[in-house]
Amino acid sequence: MADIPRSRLPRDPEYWEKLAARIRGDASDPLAAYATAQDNWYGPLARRSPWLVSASAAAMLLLWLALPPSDSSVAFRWIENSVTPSEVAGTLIGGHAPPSVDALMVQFPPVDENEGEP
Amino acid sequence: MSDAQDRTDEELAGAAKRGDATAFDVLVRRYLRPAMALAWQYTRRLEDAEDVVQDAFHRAVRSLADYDDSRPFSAWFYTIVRNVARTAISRDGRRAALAPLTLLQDEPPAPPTVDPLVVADIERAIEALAPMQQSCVRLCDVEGFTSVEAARMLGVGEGTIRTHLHRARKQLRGDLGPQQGMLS
Repeated sequence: MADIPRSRLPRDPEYWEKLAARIRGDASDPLAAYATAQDNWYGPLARRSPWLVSASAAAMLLLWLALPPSDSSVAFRWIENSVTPSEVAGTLIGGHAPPSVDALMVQFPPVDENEGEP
Repeated sequence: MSDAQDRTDEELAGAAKRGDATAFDVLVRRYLRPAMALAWQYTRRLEDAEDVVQDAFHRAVRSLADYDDSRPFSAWFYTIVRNVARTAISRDGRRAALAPLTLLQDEPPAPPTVDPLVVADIERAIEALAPMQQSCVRLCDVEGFTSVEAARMLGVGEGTIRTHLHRARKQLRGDLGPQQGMLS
């Protein structure tokens, strides 16, 4: 195509120089902050931070896998082994018909009213 | 400065990440005009395109810490420009397809040898193209960028640009009829 239609962008070099200066001025603070971070003691550390974060995450994962079972899991296993299923629970879950109210009542042995008297 | 100008975009971005203002300045000089051309595709107003480009450079410099300099700087930067431009037009409620009148107001004077009415006809024919075809014609035929550069700017493959350009030119020839002699 020929020069028709022409570019809408200005051709005046001064225009581009002014715009570039505006952008440079806008970027001066972040650039200065980057330069300062370079000079600070933590600059090299900050540059390596992505690698360091990945390495420490991997190390923590390996450590977690290598650890023996925690106290909480031991405690849960003890509870699991020591609890025997109750008869009432068995009736509720496994029975064909719902249990009667009497069957659900806790049966206490009869109390001897004279017990303990001389 | 001359030393900095020989460096690749990625090297310059790496240096800017360490606070090298000269390296950033070279990047601004390299990318200012392409970024303006790209932003203009969205905003269709020079002042808005300037704001988009300024904002894009500002975001780019603030995000340099996240930039991986093993990857092309141009693709990374043009993505920022496109995102900023899209945000700007959605915020302003302005759409490129609705801008022909604004566009003619912003237009610099046409070359004296060409009838302004013909220029306006061509402009209207370009406006009638699909958005992607418009961008390809404007970036390659109007602004003079290569298809490779336009592909980087628009974030698509070079083949896509060539296809859109071919279709757009064909449609323009059909639409302009007797004026097609103006087109090469």
